Amino acid sequence: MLDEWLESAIKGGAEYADLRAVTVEHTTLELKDGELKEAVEGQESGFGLRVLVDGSWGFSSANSISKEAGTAAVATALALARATAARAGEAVTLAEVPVVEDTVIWVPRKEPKDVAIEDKLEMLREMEAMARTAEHLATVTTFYSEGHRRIELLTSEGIRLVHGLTRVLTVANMTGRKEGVVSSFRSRVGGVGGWEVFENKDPVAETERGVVSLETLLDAGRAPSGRMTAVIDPDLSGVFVHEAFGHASEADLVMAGESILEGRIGEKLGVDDVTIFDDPTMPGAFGSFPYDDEGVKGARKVLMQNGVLTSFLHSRETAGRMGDEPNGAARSQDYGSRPLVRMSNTCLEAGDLSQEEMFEGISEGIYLKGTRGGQVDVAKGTFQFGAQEAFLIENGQITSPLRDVALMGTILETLHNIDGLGKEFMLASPGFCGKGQTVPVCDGGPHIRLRDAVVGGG
Amino acid sequence: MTDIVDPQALLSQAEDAVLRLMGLGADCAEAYVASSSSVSVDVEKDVVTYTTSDSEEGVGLRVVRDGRLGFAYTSDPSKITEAGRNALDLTRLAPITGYIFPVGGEPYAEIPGLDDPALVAMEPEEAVEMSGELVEAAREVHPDASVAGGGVGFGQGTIAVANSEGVSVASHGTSISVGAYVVLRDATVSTGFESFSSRAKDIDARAVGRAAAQMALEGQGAKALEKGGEMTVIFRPTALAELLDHTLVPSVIGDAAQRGESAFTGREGQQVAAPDVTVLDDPTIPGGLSSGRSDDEGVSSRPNILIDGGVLDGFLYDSFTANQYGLQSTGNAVRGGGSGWKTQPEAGVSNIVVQVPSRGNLDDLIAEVDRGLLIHDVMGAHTANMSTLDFSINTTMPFEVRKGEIVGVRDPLMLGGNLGDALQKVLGAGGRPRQCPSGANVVLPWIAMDGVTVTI
Repeated sequence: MLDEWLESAIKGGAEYADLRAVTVEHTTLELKDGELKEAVEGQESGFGLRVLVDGSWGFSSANSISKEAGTAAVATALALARATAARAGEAVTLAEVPVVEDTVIWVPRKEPKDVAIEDKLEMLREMEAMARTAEHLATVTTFYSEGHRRIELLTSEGIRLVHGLTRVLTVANMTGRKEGVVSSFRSRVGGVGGWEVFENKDPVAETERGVVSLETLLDAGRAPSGRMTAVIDPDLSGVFVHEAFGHASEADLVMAGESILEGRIGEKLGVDDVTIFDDPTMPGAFGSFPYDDEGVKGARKVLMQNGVLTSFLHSRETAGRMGDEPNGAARSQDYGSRPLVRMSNTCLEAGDLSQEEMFEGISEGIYLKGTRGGQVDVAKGTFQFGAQEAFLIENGQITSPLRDVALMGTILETLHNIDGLGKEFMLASPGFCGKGQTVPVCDGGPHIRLRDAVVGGG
Repeated sequence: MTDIVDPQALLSQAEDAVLRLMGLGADCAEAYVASSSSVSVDVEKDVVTYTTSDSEEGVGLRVVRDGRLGFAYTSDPSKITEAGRNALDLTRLAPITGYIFPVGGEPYAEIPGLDDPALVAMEPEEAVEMSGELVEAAREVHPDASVAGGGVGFGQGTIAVANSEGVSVASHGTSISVGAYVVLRDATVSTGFESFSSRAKDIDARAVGRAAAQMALEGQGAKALEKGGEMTVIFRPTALAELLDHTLVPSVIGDAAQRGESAFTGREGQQVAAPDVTVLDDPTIPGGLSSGRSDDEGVSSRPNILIDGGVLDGFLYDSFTANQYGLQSTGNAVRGGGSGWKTQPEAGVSNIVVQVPSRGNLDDLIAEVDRGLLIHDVMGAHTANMSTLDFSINTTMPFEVRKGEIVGVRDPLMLGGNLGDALQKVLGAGGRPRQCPSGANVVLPWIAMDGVTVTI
């Protein structure tokens, strides 16, 4: 049936068409202060049809996969492509990619569907019990989610792909209150895979680490504001790379004239030690996938090599327009969204400093750990992100805890201000990235020492 | 565009689903049925790159059995029985709460301005044309002003809620939004943005393009601010709305207050803002982006005062959390995520209206500031602490104000402070209130506050 839709799109005047039919099964559980807030089992399927008519795009989606819906979508997508043409620019040229026929189902080692829902709930109860060992805990929410996604992708060029994967995630959100001070701490464990993700990294043990952090935060003081040396832990350094560099390397933003990195391939934008890559093939990482949503195989992409900008992240369209090779970075949130250029697992390579060397010689600075999320304006090259935990550094030693600390900077300055990288690489906690659409991502890196960072407290 | 899904037809579907659930053994049942369609036109670097359409429908089912609540959803109307069985099965995990769904019989007010036939009839070609006008208008302001991103989106939706306790309500609504993000590469790189959303086809795309380009033009030639410290900040409505969305908005939810997560926990009757600041949640505003006849579980809409003359008046509840604390629902059940059928209702806000005495227009407000900043954007509002209201945000294009006048644009800065303190130090408002749907729909004018620390 799906083949016929593609055929009728081509007969209707499209020079290219692709169709993604997606089925998602989802289980979520949420426990708040001991009570079950949410237990949901849902199933959803739908499709998105994309057509190129005379170099202009039209896209139509629906959440029922039926003959009627398909016929309507073909007509709508063709009409929308013709509507686009009225104000379109240069005709879209898609970069050539291998026409693959493949089936890749990443089967979890321990299928979470085989774990009783009662046992999943029990894990949340154990996380909650652990959170309750925090002396000043006010409230705790724990969350479990499991998603099974199966994608069938067909293109008019002959790509025929079926790929599927499972993602699991737990979150513990703890809020503590002590003498009028309120602080919260969040720990996340998750990845592509099944129950084995939690055997490799125990959510209860992560919650236990969170308890220590929460109690520390409740004793934390207000952070100083101003320029100082910052040391960023691996859980945050990935987010730093994601915000401070990754977004600006997305070729759709570059093409839109939004990115400060436009026209700078080959330029030295960072110190020698800085090598940044994006890699959707890292086993088990939250942002991994076998094929992107245009049927291009996921691959490791080096974006910056020893401080030199080497590549952008591409879709077939951006690669076609810039004369580059597509590198498998086109991702959609779901069947109802068109693919955009997105990151997967974005990482900074490790350096050679030991933990002691990292802090050595810092007379006054700040140590930032974990993330509260970040944001970037890629045109001006300004970014901002919040740390979960922060500490003063005095004479090379980590001293008093600080709360609600944020760091801001500009892309072009910051990559030159990195003056030390730790030798241990770590993958950060799983995350989600928003760019109109939300997709699962992960980041990673070593400890980073940053000169002249603008730090602010609440 | 597409045919209207008749609210009555959807309501019959919801009522049938309720009967089916009762037949499966539910003691109480509720069905929420939603159907929506939308078109969006994307502009990138001055040209239309994509026109997309999306249509979806789905059903969210809640049941109570033996005092326990269960929920399931499906996108396939032929699978209601299966989803209903899932919901009933999941009740075994839930605690016994004695909760039942809202009781029907309350009248629903008709709220004008939520449904515009012109938007139902609108064709995608028209949205493409408006997108073109947006780009032309930006270029008229400056030939190098480029609309890097933006476009036009419009759509319609029908929702119906029915339950076994007599609730039966349906409605149809429309909306449109037009936005532009302009990059101007002239002497320096500057950016500007503007966006408007409405329930009616009354947005002038040219005005949006012009405003965004004008902001980018004014942002040229930024210099460093000489000295930081505590100063007055005048917030553009959209910028303050974003900050409030992560501070004030979560603080007025009853469940957060009861659990001690809200900065306002235990502070009812206390002064939490300057004496002339009033904040209400009002789902009955004509043309309001989050207005509706009822909330998402069929409780009739009514305004709720949250802060009255600076004094904290109350919190917002859906029927479940109200039952939990022995209170009445305030009509604030909200279902998140798209058209809502995939999620259970939770307490949330509708239109948050912030009222501050006006000093006149924006220039009149600026005239009252001796030393301060006027800011258009905030970055990182989501890192604010909702329990303490501490925030540390970045602004990319602040304008310095001295002795009542704007003296120039400055480099990006960091702003830090506590929203609770800042609310106590509200100086006044300027210009007309506007709807700012960044997260929650916050309705407010330009507002000046003291107590914000600027780091350069």
